[in-house]
Amino acid sequence: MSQKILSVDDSKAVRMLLARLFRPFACELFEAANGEEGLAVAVRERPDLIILDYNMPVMDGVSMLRQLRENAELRRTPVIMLTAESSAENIATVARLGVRDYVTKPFSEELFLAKVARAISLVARPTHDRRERKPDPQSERGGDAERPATRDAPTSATELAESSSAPSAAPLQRASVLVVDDSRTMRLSLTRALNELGFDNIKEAKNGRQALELVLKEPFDLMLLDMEMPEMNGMEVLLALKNNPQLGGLPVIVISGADQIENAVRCIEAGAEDYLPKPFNPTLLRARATSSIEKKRLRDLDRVRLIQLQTEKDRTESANRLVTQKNQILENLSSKLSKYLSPQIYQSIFRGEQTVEISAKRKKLTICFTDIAGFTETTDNLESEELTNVLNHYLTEMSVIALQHGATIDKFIGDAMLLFFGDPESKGVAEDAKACVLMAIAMQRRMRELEQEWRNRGLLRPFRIRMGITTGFCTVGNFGSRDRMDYTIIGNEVNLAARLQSATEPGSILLSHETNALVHGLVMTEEQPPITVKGFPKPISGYKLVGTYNDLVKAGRVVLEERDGLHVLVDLTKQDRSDVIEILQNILTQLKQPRGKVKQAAGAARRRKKGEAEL
Amino acid sequence: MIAEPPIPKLGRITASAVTEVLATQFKLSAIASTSADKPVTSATEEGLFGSVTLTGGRVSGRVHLRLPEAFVAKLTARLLGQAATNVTNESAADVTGELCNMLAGRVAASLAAAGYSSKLSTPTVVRGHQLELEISPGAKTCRSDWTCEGHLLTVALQFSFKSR
Repeated sequence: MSQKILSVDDSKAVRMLLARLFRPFACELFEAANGEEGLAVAVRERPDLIILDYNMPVMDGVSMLRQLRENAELRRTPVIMLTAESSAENIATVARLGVRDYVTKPFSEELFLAKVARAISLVARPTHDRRERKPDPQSERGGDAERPATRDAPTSATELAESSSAPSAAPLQRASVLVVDDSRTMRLSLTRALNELGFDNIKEAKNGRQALELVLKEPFDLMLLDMEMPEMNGMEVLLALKNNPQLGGLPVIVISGADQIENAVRCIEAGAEDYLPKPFNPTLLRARATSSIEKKRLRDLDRVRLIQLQTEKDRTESANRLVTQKNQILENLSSKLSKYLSPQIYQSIFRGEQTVEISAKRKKLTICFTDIAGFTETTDNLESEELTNVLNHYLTEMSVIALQHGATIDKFIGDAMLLFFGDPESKGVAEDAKACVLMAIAMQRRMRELEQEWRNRGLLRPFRIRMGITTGFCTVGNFGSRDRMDYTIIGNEVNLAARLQSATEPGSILLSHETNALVHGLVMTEEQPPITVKGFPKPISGYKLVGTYNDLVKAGRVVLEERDGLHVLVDLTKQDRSDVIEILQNILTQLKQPRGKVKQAAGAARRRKKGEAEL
Repeated sequence: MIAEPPIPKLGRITASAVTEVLATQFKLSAIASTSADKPVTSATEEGLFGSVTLTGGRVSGRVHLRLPEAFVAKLTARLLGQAATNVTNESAADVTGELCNMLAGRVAASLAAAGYSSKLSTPTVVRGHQLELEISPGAKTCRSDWTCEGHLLTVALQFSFKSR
């Protein structure tokens, strides 16, 4: 049976949307714009399902529902609420009134249809029946002119699934058969035989043209087709069916005289399902008709399953598209947000290695604080736009170097930068300290290269940066509130880096004692007079970075020879060359002496170094 | 003594409602519009305005929605399975009302979750140019622009919250 669905909603848009959703199904849809109209239609049409809005003018959904429940004939009609109202109170009210389901707007069309299918049996409308049809006065519902004339479709997924395991008599009774023969006697004979076999839905056509008109008007499960007929013969009917994709699934059994066997073969080649010789044998007719109908049923089942699969596929694709769109939005957003974070922090959060919660840990880090000496005075004569450009250029250049060396950029404070090594990624305390010092040297070198560029932009006094570097234990982690937090470091070492920075000369780098100890084989430093730093009980020793030994050797500033057990370092800026030559010659002389003497000489040299008197 | 529930954040409620309604019902995505976006429709060209009133014991106010005509035609076509050129004024107004109703429904659900229950009125729809809000004393207002399919939509929430 075709299902009747009543849609009660004051929004025409929703009613039209439901009409679109139910279009593929063999059901009659009735509409009402408020509860009062809905009740009138329900009383008249006895719908199988009511889809009801909550808020409507004249009479709302709850009032209509109450009246439905008081009506003996309609009280059991399933109702699905489709509404934007989702308060628990409203849901409880309609639940007490026995609604079958509750769908809130906006709604997923697929899930809504699934809920409808749980309430009533939704039957797919046959493909060639999906257009509007006028009421057929000959049909069993011909008397009811208000109803759209939709024939009971045999292709419900449920029905088909059920009938696939049921006795074959059940589908035969439901199957509709069209007998096409120009001989009235033959038509009557076939109809009678079919009735005796259990078919009770049979129609007749006296030629091919009439048959085609009928199959275009309503669906059939089987056609029994004569070959020789006036106006349009059997072969022409077969070709017309074959050329119409909507009718291609209709099985046709050709009824043909034994002398027309060759024609029958041609008909089967043209798409007929089977062949039955005249005079026909009822047992053979039953076997072939049943077989053809069964094949059609299976084809229909395949088609319904295909529709279901297609629906599922569409739903999945739609969900995937939505996910892709959301991902794209998230990617764009995270890309924008990432600019506000150090890449290591951003990446470790996205890899799930870093928790986004208020937490911190103690860790030994190497911290670098940089600042442009006399920034305000240097940029005083620049327009604000130019100043912004120069400052952003400087910070961009420095950030690139920092990231190349693996620094975590903690923050920009005007023209100052706070950077650290050792978290979230660390190569070990000594390696982190070395990376930090090499970064500082690279930054100073880049500053010298940028000098000319900035001069061309009108910066009369070039930027000179001061840098302070220290190594020590800090508290590192997320600080702030649950809604807004910063990944940063806290501790005396941060202050010390800032103090070392302010204590050094523009264009130079000052290391703390601990950092100096960690990098002593890599760079040459010069000890500076101790400085007093707030928060540190004793004066702090600072070590001014001179350069890497590699660079100093290349520049001819030092002589360095290193082997296993040999280390010769001569700082030519501090030693007179002739003194160095003399010392080295002395060493050579000692080396040329026999072994025991060398030991003595070496001992004497050590004593001299310690200031001991040489006897 | 029962603690007073905090006043809900209208910006978050709007964002959640707009994205959910457009995604679920129309399979469209909307993003909060910034001054850098250049939508094909502007906030001043003629559009449709939907509005739904929410009334509850401790909260009352309105959900306003402004949609450009071209966007309404697109939504209507999508919802009803029609060509955008066949959309009538009546169905466009109806879709605007329904969209506003769905938004208001989502807003009401969020407010209820925060302890402020309310009931929805039926939507009203008018045509016009710019969305002008009357500022009610003590009312919290949140107005936001959204870009969807290149069109600029405006959503405004205006609510008064009462303590117990």
